[in-house]
Amino acid sequence: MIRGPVLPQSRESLWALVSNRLDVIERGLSLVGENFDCSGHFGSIDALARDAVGSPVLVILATAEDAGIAARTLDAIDFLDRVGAGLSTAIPEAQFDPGASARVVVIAVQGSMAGLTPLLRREMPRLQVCRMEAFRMAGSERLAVLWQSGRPEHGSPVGPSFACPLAQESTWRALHDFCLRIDPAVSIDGDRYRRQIRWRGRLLGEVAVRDGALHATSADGQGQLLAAPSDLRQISDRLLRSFTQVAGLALSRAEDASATRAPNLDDASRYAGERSAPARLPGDSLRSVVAASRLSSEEYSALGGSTSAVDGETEGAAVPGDIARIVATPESPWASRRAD
Amino acid sequence: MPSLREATVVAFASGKGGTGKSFLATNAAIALHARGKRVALVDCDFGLANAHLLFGVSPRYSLHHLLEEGVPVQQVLVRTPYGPNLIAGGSGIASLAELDARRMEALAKALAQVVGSHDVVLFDCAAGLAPQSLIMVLAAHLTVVVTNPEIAALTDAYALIKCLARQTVHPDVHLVVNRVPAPGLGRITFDRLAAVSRRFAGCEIHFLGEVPEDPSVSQRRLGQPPLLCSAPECATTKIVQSMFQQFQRWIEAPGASQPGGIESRMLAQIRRW
Repeated sequence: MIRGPVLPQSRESLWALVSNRLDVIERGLSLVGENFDCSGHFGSIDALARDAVGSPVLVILATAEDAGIAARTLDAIDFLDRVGAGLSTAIPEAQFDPGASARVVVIAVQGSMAGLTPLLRREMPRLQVCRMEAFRMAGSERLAVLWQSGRPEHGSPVGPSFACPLAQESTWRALHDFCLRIDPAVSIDGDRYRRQIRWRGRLLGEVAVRDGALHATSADGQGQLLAAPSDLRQISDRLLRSFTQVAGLALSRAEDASATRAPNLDDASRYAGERSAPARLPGDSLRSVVAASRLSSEEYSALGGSTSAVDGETEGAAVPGDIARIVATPESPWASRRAD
Repeated sequence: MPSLREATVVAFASGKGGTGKSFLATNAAIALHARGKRVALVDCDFGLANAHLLFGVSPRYSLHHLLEEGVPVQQVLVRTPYGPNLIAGGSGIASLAELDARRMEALAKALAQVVGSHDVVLFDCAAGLAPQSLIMVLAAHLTVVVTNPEIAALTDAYALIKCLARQTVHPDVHLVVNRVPAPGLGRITFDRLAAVSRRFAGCEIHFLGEVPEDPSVSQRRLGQPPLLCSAPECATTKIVQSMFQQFQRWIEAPGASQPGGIESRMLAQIRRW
């Protein structure tokens, strides 16, 4: 028999329920610390967590009594904009990935969504909001999590949303969830019209939106339209085969662990041996590879360019900000080298 | 007697021209030769070659003669006064700038002989993303991407890295930031490029080093010996020597041992033209 709702009434009890089940909110999400004070004006953040790929996540519980939830959330986002990139060194015990992007996850319950509506309308890339509803089934408590915005996709939680055609949303979700179940180190990343599925940086396959439809290709070179359930089964099978190939499932545990280190000299010999059988995406001629190398505005901006100049030349323009400060430093040792 | 072990092939590439790729490739060849390696440099800037100018040699034959007149590669390969061997590209020869698949296959066959008789073969590739350049880069074991700390060079370097990252298997990418006006700027430039490469292209790159902006390099006259030979005490020389001393560890990692490895790798890429 299914009954509900069964959520605790007090904030403390509700938080105790949520903090013990972060993995239900998002697979792989684990608690790092509670009562995270980011020097905001609207109270502390409920928790700092770490997701499956090592990104810092600020978790905020929004209850119906939270009049200042929007402001608290904006405080958290502002904090991440300021210091998000430094959390990996500031909290080494959390083992955050230095290159990962930090984000905010707001867990809302019944009655608190109204306070978050202004934020949801703004489509903020660092913000993800879900609504949680609890119910009991056969005596055990269950949590249903319904994402209102920016459902996390591992590997690129901060980035443009995937422009999947509406009619194929469920197909994409099924394929997405399947890929994430293959292995915790699988990441799905890309731009608005293309998502690449990778395992530890190695390409397993790709899904692209073309002509209003979803097209999937696997690393073994086969591609197809994702229209019918059978298409989904076929591509899932090929992605799994790609994974078994690139992961080298015959490897011992020690060798597998070495694959997660930063590349070093030992990896070079292994890499040389892998050259004998290169695989590629279908239709992936050299010319198409070059065509696909055009930078997106997000990439250009991340490199330090102005997005308004993404199609133009910025000849001689230095990378701004911190680099400009170093160049301007007087008595540069570089000056003494010029005198040699 | 040719070695059964194929040479380690290193491609020097850049997205944008004028970053100092040829300067680094020629001096890398000299640095590695000084450390006891049998080194050959292949000027792959087809049609706009300049490595022979930097070495101060005027070879009788170039890639043009190899590809158009069938001159054997052993005759095209010349010993420079500074130690490394050189296969000169051609200058101002339009046909070399647009090599077709047949000529690229002939080049692959010729290079298969070169890698069998050297320890290290350096490709001084043309700037940009022309298919001919990509073929050479993808056929290498290691890639040295040369960039400058300016947005135009960075974006073009990233475009090249993005191309490489789209391959299921691609060479390890090592980045050199050249013409750095202040110390540390090269490292910052690398960190930014590495973060973008990791995030958007899923590609890890390695930092090889930064080379200062040095008038003694940029104002060198034609015919002057390479920097490592003419100015051994110069700070830039020491930086470049140290850089490739570190890089030698990567070069000495075991490469493909089967004969004809470079040829099969190039042919595989030529088929994707």
